[in-house]
Amino acid sequence: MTRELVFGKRDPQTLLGPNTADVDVTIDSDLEFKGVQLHYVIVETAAELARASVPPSLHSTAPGLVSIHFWNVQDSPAGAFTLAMVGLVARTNFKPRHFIVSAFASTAAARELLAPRCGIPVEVGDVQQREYNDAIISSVSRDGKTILEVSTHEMQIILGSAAALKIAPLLTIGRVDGEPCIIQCETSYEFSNTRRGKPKVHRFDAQALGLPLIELGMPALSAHSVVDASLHPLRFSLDIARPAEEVASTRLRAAA
Amino acid sequence: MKFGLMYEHSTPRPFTAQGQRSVFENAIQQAKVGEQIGFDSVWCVEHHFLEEYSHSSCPDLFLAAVARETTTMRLGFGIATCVPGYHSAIRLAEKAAFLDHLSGGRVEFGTGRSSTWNELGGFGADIDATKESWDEYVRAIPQMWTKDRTAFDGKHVRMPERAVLPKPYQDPHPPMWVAVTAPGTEIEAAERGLGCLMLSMAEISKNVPRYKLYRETIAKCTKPVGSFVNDSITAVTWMYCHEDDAVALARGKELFDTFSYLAGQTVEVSEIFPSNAYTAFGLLAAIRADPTAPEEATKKSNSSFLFGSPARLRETVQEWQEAGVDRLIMMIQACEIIPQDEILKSMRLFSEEVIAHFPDMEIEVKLEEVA
Repeated sequence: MTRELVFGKRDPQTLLGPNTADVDVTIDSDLEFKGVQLHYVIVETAAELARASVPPSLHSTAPGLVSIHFWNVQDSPAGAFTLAMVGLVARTNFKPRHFIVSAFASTAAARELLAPRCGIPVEVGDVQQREYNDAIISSVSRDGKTILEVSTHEMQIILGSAAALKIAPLLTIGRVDGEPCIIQCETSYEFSNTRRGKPKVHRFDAQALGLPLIELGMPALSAHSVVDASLHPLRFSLDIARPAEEVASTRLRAAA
Repeated sequence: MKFGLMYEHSTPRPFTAQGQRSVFENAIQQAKVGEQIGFDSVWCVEHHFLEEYSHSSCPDLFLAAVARETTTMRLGFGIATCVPGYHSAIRLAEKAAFLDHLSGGRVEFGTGRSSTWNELGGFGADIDATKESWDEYVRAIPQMWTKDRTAFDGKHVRMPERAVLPKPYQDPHPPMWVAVTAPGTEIEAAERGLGCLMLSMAEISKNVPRYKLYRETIAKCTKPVGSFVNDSITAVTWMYCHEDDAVALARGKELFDTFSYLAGQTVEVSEIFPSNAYTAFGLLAAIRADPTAPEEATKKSNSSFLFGSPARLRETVQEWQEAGVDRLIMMIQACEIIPQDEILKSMRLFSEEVIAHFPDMEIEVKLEEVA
């Protein structure tokens, strides 16, 4: 009997589009952001839908998990901006990753800064993160229509080492020398405070967010942290269609 | 040094009735053969919802089956999950005592609290409270076993006075253990007089300080949660033994790669849910951690695993023994990738060429009987 493996089923070509980034592998220094307000939400989805939404080079989790990241950056070489990233919790071999399918930045300057460095497919949109006395609400709008809105309620401060959220490295599809591949973007975080709360998803336009098959299930986590974040130079790329278990990763540059 | 077997009952896709049954039947046969050739114990995990990785949702039933096929094999819960929503403390006390009778007093009662989002989220458990509930369970269960009638008024274990029956066969009760993965749990084990069931994929040397701390702390334990102190360390590892070292290493790699692939489907609670009850990455921390330096990316496979020729494995077991471990329990299969006859051959070679070099009175007698 042939063993059935559970790699993704999505045609990688459906993940390529006008926002697919040409990455610059010559960047060799960290990009640091101080005091980023990170709003992080994870929601379950059906395992088979998650599997159908990642390329064959990755495998999803069971249950499937949709990950939503908002960064409110006060100061950067591109000025202040807010960034939203949407994807799925995935694996390369047994390594946890977030496979980012769509991203939205509030300014064109932020897109120019981030896309070549991280490979994320950034689109400029109306991205907001708002804090109220009883909730944090983050949203993305395109052409005046809200395509994503999440909020966190009943927040409690997390003390101790759990305040350092274990956010796995990001993966996304970009181009290296014109060839599409999966890019791994590694980020370090220094957490200064974290609050955990109950998540609510008010709007999730799956089609607009690049996950047309996804239907959301039980919310798993919602947290808000203040962090110093460092984006490291790209080190690895992966085949777009074949798993790392078969073909391993490609080193883009010598590790620092 | 004692040697045992550890079962997760990983099951290959596609899931079929026959495929599932053969996973269980093969494991029972291995346990039966294991007893004849010097393995002292069979341990079985409890997992739920972990597709492929572990279909071991009812370890007590598996251990009951093994009990009826063996006569001396110790039967370890590896572990019983002490979280409301999975089991009440009363049901765990009853099941362990019942099995103790069916086996003529061979139960080892391992305890723990689960670590995956799949399970804790699936049962709707209060993730922040699992350590607290575990602590109440390990204090309440021995009382249920040893007192004619028990009442308990805790936060997670509450019951009016009742007789929890049957009482265990072993007097006063089965040895108690706790699964030790997160740093610090070895101290909590020792302070409660519990055996240390070390679940770690780290190198042997990495856990030596933890073993020492456990021994130092348990030596001072005067108020165990049970009726006695179980000063003992059991560690989990992998085993595949073959005369040809290269063949064994290749097979071992297949086993561990398969395990890693299966583990990839699961979601550790610490990965997505910040809670001070789960600050470490659990059992998979060592293999899931990303390299932070170039030399880490190319490090060799874990030398604590028992993959290799008998000569290599004797050296590795010696290292484990010198680290202070009393018993090794070994995972020997992953998703049925190795044929059953090959597994049994590996076990027999390990028995003849490795176990025999680490004499234990009980084991020596058994080997003579088989001969």
